[in-house]
Amino acid sequence: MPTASHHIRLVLFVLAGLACLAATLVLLGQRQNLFGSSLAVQADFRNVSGLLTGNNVRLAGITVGTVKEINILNDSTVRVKMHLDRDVQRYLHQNAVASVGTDGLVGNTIVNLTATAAPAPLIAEGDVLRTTNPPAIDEMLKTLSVSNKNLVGITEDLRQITGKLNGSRALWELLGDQQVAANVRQSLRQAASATATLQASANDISHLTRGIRQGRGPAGYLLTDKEFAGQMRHATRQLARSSSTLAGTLGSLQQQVQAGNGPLHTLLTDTAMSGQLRQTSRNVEQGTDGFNQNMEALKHNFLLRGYFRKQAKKQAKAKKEAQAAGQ
Amino acid sequence: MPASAFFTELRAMTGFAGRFFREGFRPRYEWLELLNQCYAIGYQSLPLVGITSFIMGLVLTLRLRPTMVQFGATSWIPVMVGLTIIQELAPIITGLMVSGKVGSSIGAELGSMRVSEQIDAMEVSGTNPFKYLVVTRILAATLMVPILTLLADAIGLFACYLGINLQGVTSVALFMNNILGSLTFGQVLPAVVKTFFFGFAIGLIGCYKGYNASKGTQGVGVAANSAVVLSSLLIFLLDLVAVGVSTAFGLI
Repeated sequence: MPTASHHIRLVLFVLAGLACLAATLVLLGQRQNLFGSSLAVQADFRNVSGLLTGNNVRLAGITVGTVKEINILNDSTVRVKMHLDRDVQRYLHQNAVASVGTDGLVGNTIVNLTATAAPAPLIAEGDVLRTTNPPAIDEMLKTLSVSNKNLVGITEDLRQITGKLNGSRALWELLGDQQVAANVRQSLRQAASATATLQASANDISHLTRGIRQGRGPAGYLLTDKEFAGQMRHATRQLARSSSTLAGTLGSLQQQVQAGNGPLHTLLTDTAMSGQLRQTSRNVEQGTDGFNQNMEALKHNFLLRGYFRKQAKKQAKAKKEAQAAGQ
Repeated sequence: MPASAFFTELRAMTGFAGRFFREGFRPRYEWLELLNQCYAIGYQSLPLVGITSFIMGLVLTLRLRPTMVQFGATSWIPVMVGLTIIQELAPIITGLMVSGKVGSSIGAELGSMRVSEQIDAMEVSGTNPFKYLVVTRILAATLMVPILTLLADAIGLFACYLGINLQGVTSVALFMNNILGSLTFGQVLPAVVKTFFFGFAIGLIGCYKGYNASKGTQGVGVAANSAVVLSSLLIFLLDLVAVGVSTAFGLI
């Protein structure tokens, strides 16, 4: 009855069954990352929308780990611990954003990790990721109903506008006119040349300013030469010194004028002196008057009379020649 | 009184199970007989279990298809059939088939040995009949039903794959990815663990009924019949307990 072949068959039968179990467990383990070393990260959500432990975590749509633990921290924070594949550490940065989503419209709840463009260090064990709340469907629908209402108004207005546009003759003439196109092209060409000129001017200005910055030309020299500033300072200092000297001189002059001992004070303030001066000048006047009479009498003296006659004759002759040249 | 009779029976059965644990794990062990029983219970049940699970996998796929087409969810057929087969269908079908085939044979075998007084003769001759007859059968059933269930899983999934390819096209890789993607350890492990209890129940009930058979040849028939009925019922009860326990542990 019991033979060796029975036992061999039995062993094969058992091995086949165990192989099925082992294959299932290994494949599931690979999927859930049970055997590889994992990277634990966390994220704080306000609402996890029915997330369960064991749900998948996806990075860029690829399953990279599973949810290991969901804890309520307080009334507005739910902490989700995730175990990620070690291989993914190279691609995940600390500024990645976690969000709760669903796999398809009615599928499992999943955690989506989204990379952010900004640079950040690579993720490490125990990091807490930033989170966003994905838009809820009922809120989207609420917004959609408002948008629909707006859309109705917009399309109505648009219909009126197109009706008016269709009825307008002027617009169609404008559109049909070939001349307008040519004019527009002409204007554009002129605008292009104007901008080219403007460009050249701008270039010149930039050239100039560059020159000034580099100290070329008189303006550049004025603005950039450091020695000039030194000389200027020196000159102004000299000027200030001269003006102070001048002020001192003037002060001493004023003192002299006011002091009363000097000749100037006497000249300016002594009234008796002025009276004497006036008397003196009158005497001089009378003296010169007498002298004048003496000189007149001297003209008629015989010694000098001949000279004066000769003089008068020469004068009359010059007058006559001038009149003849004028005619 | 039926209630007191039920409790008497239950107590006797519990005592029988206790005796199995007391005597089963003490030397000397009946290795050769255990292997023979494993061969008879496990290997020889494989064709029956294989055929039924193949048919169930195929039929389930073909029946499910029209409904899933209506939902536009034909890609979910592997997931649904796979989960159904692995979690419930394969364990239950294997349990029922084994209880029908093995439970009745154990009950009839032990019952006829009891009524023909062979068991008493063994006791007199110094062989422990409980060790030789009961422990080996219960252990063999406990070990073989899980193996049969795993093979039934594989055969049922293969049938599902064929069923999908009858009316559509899918690749093996996509099929396996679909099933594994929706499967978790929390779904697989309870389904495997509960089959040990199924096997234990089948062996225990069959042996108890046969070992305690009475009233001549009529008693043999009663023993075989009640072994099948009671073990089938117990399998469903255990399934209920299993789903309750796994839900309580959050493995669902």
